Amino acid sequence: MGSNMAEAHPVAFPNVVEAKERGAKVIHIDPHFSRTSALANLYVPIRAGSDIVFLGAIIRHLLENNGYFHDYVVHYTNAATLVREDYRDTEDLDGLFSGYDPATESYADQSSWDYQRDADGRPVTDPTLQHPQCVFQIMRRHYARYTPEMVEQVCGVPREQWMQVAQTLIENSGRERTSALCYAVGWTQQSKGVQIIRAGAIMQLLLGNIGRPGGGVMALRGHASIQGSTDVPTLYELLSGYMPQPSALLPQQTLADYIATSGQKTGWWSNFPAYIRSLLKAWYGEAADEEEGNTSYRWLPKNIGDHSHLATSYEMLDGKVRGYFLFGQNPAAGSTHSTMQREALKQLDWMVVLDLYETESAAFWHRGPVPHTDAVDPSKIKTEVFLLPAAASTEKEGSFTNTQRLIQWRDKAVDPPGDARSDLWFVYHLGKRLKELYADSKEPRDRGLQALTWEYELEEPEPGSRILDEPDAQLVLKEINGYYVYPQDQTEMGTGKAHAYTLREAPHVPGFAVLKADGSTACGSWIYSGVYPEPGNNRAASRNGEGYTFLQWGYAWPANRRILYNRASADPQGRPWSERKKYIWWDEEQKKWTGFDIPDFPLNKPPDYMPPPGATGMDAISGSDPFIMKPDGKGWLFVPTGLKDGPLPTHYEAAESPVHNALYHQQSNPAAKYYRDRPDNRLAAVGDEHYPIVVTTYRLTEHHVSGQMTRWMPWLNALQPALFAELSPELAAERGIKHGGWMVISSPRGEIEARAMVTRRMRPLRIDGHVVHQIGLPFHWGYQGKIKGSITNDLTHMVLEPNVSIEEAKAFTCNVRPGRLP
Amino acid sequence: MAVEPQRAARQPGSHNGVNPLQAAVSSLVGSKVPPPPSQPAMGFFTDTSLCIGCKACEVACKQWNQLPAKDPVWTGSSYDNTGALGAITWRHVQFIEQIGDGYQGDRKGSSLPDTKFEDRVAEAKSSGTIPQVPPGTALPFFNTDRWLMRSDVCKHCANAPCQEACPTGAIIRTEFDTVYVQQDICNGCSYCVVACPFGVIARDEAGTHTARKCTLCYDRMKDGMVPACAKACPTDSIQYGEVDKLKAHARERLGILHERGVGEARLYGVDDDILEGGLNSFFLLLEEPEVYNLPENPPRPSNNVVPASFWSIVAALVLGMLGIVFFRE
Amino acid sequence: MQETRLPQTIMERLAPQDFVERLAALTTGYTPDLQQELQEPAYYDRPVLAEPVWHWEIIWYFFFGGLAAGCYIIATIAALFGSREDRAVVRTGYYLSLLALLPCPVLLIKDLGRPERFLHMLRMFKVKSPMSMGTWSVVTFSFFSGTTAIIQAARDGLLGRWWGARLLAALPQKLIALPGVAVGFFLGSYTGVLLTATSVPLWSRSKLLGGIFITSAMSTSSALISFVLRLTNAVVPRFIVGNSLHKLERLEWAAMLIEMTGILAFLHESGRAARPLVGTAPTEHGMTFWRFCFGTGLVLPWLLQTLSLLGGRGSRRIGRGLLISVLVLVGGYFLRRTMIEAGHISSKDARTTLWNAKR
Repeated sequence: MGSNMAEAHPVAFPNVVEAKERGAKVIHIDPHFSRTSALANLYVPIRAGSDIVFLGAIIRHLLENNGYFHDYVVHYTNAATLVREDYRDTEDLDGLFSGYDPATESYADQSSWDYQRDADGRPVTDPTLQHPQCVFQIMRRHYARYTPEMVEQVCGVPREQWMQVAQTLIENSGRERTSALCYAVGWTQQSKGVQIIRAGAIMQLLLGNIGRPGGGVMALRGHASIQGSTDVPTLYELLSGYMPQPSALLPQQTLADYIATSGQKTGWWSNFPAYIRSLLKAWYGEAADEEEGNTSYRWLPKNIGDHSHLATSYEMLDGKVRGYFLFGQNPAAGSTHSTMQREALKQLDWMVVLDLYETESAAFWHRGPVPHTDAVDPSKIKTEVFLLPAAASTEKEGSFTNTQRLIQWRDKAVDPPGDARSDLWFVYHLGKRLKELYADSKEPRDRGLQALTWEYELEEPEPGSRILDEPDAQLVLKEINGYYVYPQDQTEMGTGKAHAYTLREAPHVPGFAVLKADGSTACGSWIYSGVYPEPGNNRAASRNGEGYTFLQWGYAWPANRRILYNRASADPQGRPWSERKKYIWWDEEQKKWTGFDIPDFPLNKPPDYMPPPGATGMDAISGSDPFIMKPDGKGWLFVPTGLKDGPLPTHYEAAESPVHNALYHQQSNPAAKYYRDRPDNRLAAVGDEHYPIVVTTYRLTEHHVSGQMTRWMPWLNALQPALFAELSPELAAERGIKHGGWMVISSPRGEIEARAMVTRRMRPLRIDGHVVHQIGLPFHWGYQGKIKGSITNDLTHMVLEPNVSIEEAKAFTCNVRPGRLP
Repeated sequence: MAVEPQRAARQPGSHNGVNPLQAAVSSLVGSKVPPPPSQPAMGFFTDTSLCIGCKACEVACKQWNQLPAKDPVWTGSSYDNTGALGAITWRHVQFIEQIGDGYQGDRKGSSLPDTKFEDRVAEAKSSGTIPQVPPGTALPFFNTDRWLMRSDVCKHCANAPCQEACPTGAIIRTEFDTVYVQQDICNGCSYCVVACPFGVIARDEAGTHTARKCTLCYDRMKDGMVPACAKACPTDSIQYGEVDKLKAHARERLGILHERGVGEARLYGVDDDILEGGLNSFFLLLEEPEVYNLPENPPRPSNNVVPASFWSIVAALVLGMLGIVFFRE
Repeated sequence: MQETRLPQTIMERLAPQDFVERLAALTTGYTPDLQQELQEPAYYDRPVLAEPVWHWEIIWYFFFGGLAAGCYIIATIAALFGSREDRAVVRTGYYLSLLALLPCPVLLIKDLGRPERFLHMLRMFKVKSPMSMGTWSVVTFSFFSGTTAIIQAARDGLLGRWWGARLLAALPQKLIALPGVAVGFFLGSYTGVLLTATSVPLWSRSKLLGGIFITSAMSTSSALISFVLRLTNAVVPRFIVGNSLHKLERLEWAAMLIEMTGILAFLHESGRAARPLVGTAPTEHGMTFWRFCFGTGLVLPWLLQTLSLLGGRGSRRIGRGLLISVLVLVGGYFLRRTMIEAGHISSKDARTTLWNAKR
């Protein structure tokens, strides 16, 4: 669901095909019939944006008909936990939860969502699941109206088909069988994307599929190594290993405050201090010991708002951003509301583009969208653009971390041509020059840059390469893995008298379990710790394909665990739920957890361990709490804290929708950022007759995102030469659009032209009594490259999901007409 | 089996079934290097029930053989913008949409249905598009809507009409029993082009001006490597191996699919004696061959030589007789 | 390759379209039903076959090759079985044969993708490949035709009186011409067999093309020879050719009759596959075929010839004779042209190709 796995992940999809050959059932639920649907056992067409109703109905069905895995739910989820009495649900407030502040359009006060706690602060539970305030009962009330009839009405899915899906899931979950859920950008790029994923997670928890082989929720990431880009992040709100970036808006002025507000007292996150100190040590070396880390902590940039790419685009448009580095990124065509993006680029003073080709972003100052590609007047644009050639993935050494958290090392095959250099080379040498530039500065704010540890030279130039100053990627990996800063026998650590190793000589740490908060260890990203545990053993480079779980192939963080929370594959007593699906179990003789994977649990904690009152850290987690990253060790059906738009997934319509929300008066996500004050971001009103057609965007196998790499390749261009829109024969007949002709698609943000692919793979749906049409648009075209076409993102809007600020490109509205742009 | 006599003929020395006169003539002009020793016959089994239409085969083939790209043309024929096999296109993925009432293909300008939407939903329910089966019933192996995808390629026929037609001896059967065009010998007469019943081989008008087609990656095979398309195919829809073993596997696979209720599955080029010997590169199809533009049982062109010659001789004799009669007076 | 572009009025006068269409349906036994055909499955109407690469070079080669072969055969028959008067036929025949042969290798070589490699044709001697055998027959026939013509030239005094010419004149022309005739028959018919041994439905469904082509070779050759003789006679009155002409006319008449029968049998055997040749749809060549090949190229001259033959020998019917010859020659050209061009169309018709391949 929300994924076109065969088209976007063709190398992974064969595993699904293989599973199907062995008897698994593949169900594909998607607005358009794609190459994935062609191999599925069951294809369900659905209205884009209505996923939560579909999933909510399944949740309701499970709860009402005893379809859930009872033992699993009672012991491993927070179904039994009681929520505070002052909690108000969307059923009570017609689409809102308690704590909503209309002035800020946010849930400013989430305290009413919290658990009821006893005197020790521990959550109160009712294992019988009967108490009206227990999560189980709250969920029953919350999803009471998500019926099969509602599915038919809102999603356009006949209830027989929905029932087939529900029934197949139930039959294939439980003790003996598991079902897997795969999603991708079809779920994430929505104004309620996080909640949709949550609904999938709830469903899987209720079915007992999490932490078990053949189960789980798999996020199919959108690019190669994009998983890595959130692990060792390029994201503004994260430090490595999913520690949050400190914020000036929160009481986090000191390191201690930061730890207090971001860490947790119980559960695995109680190790938080070790990770943040080790990170600071890795970055700032000796200086990270000053004031027990406070000095270096102050050097870390603090958030003062939403600095995500899209929010920053508006800042850029307002002239508040001076410069821009684009590494393999193409916002002029690939980011939402790309007309605005191109305008924003014009307000920059300078821009550096590192890419393989002159992308749309690099060329924005002299070229514009088809059909008038030369209509841009460079003399009116002040931005100074530097276009630098980048090395392609085969021309540099490094790692990819893909879906499934697998880190795989890549060797370099050839030198990049000419002046092209890897991103690592670029950043490293830029850093060196900046350090030189500021070496003599007396300003306190420059001390951070001066203290930055920045030595990643190769000992000898790489043999056979003409590039003599390429940094040592494996050394960087070592820092990410972590190392002991001082010899073990040193007792004067942190006093400035201890002799520290250089990065190159320092002994590797074997894993994150040995990281300390006293400055004796350094680690660039704690979740990766263990990938390079000793010299010569780069586990990301291993390619041994033996065994049931391929533990010798690459390295999966954390600690090479292939399935997270795999404690849940055994019952509370530590025995596998079934022989057939056994994965991790408690070995009574050896008094440890064992099995086919690295146990995601303290190795020696027995299943019957009960935490004493007032226990902290991992001691507060019992022997039957598999979800160790949560303070209560339970899988959260209900999320008391941590999300900006509600503890339970709720159906909201997309920001632009042809129909009213059938369930609540609250039309769309109350906490999303709508940028309503922006005149360029006009949104169509609900049921606007000028924009009655639902449009969803998606990929084709033959090209990659905005085509910045692929539309320069003649072989690929011949496979998919032109932008086309897919529409049903019924819609084409209505509008007089002929198959193979040209059509114009318009939204409140702009218009584009495309070829018309009239196909029955798109079908009109019956929503709430009337016909709703959907069209589909790939988005791979732009005004650069050897084939050109309209930019689909010229249609999309800037409405951002509240938790992660992602755009809603998967469900908005448009209109169509035959013809071309003037 | 019809394949056997061909295999008997293929011994070193009498390579390609050459007769003594031919050998004598050839020995005057041909190469003196002895042919390489025979290997087991190698070929492709393309199982369309596994194809996801990714076109990696097309790109891998282009890349390995450094074939130029076609000019991009958006055809609107579903996702098939390649169109057909040709001189510089040796793998071609076909797409056939059969959505709803088993409608075959998206024909341009075809008349669109004008029945009301409710009727169409009802029709879909009765035709099985929207299943009316009770919930929980086992799901079919393929859903009732179908999008057929198939990677087309040279069939490397056991009795290849192109090879039988070639007057220069450029087209040969290699030691792997594949059909191969020697590019340094072909002079572009293009007789093979009209001989091929599948429209595979063609003259490279923009490039070498010789006839070109899939080589089954002869250069890779000689080094023990797998052909580029088979190597790239992520789902192993394209399988490469010994023809006998592949055929056995194909029959097994057909049995499995039939068991699973995929009644439309059938083999093409395996047991059906196409061109009297079957194909070394054969297919598992999910529809009748014509849907994929495959001829069900194409006539073998070289079989026409004798009957056509017979009638020529008859005509010649009659005309000759008449001529003699008329001129004698 | 489009329909012949003659003024529309002339075209219409010769035969209206629906009459031609009915002819097509009658002779092929197939009435096209577009709706029915569209029901037959195919892949987006894309051709099943690759299109032939043969264009005007091959059309003219077929034409000249047929003339070269036919003239040689007629000349040899006249030499072996004819009277003294027929020696004009012998002479004309052998010279015309060589003349008609001259453009053939040029056309064939030019048609190749790699003309510089034309000698590669002689690497093989494949009995089952008409292209291979045909190439050898062109080479061999060139030897025979050339030798025979040179001997003839020597005997006619065209080569002077030196000892070489006398030696050549003394060579046994008739003996050489015997195998030459065999090769000639091969040359005149193999092109039809070559077309039949392909996958193109129009060319391959019926097996009669070889026979039709040799028959056409004979009819066009006798037309050409009698044309030349008549002209010579008109210019040089002492040149007596009345009996020879009569013999040629009878041969021509018989050949045309056999040819027409053969073509009708070909159409009947081909059925639907012959549509591109005889049909009247926009891409089909029926209008040209029926008008200029079968109509004015066969039926009309045959009728005129019948008239001439019935009318007795004495009358001087130069004008009509010349006309008949011209009509036959033009008709022979159009036979080959429409056959090749319609073959292109046939190769592009997926549904007929698939129909032709049914079990």
